[in-house]
Amino acid sequence: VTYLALISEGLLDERELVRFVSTAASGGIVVFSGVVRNQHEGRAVNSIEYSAARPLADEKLASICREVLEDAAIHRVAAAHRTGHLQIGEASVIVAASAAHRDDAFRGARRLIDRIKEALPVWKKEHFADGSVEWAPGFTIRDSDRTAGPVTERIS
Amino acid sequence: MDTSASDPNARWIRLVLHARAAELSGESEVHIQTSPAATVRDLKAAIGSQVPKLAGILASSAIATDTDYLSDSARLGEENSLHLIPPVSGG
Repeated sequence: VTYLALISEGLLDERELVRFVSTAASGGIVVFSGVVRNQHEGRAVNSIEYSAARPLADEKLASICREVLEDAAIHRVAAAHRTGHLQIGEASVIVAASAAHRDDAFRGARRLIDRIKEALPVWKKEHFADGSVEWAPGFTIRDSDRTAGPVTERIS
Repeated sequence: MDTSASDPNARWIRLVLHARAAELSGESEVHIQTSPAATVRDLKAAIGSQVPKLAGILASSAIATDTDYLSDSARLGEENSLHLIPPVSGG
């Protein structure tokens, strides 16, 4: 298996992802971490709550990894998303990609995080310092990510 | 709502709600009556009429199984439990 996909309630371990994507042939490894920050559009944020539709989210994260691996220049990928109540500075998402050269590794990591943003069934609820709580607006699932065939005839 | 439905052709779908959809309806899941040959589009119409609080979020939401998002033209197949997926905001 050349990918690692993980939805986790616990702290994400960046080293585990880097270890996973490391191969003897990989001259470049790119890691991206998405971290809870202390403000959103000028408003102070205290914390963020993430929820996921499971097991759909597990399946989608794995399929995003497989999709990025269709690019033959990319050796391995790893993606982890956190759920639960996160504090400022905690990583909500970490992705990693390895390749022989940096351009391919950067492209792989970029593709992973972009696809997670638009296709992973996870939701962010921001808790602001003024006491208000709001769901982030988010992205509607694209038509190209929806299957038209009868559900029962699909083989996973 | 009478889930024992006298209509022999009635079919009930358990719809799991997430995030804003759960908050709007005040429920974590609802049961929607539809027809055996229903498509996702038919299901969405049924959701809008049977749970009016969700009507405003349907156009921007997807229907999903435990493994896939379904297009509006997809038939529901044999799935009896589906998810309503409002716009996603992970990352």
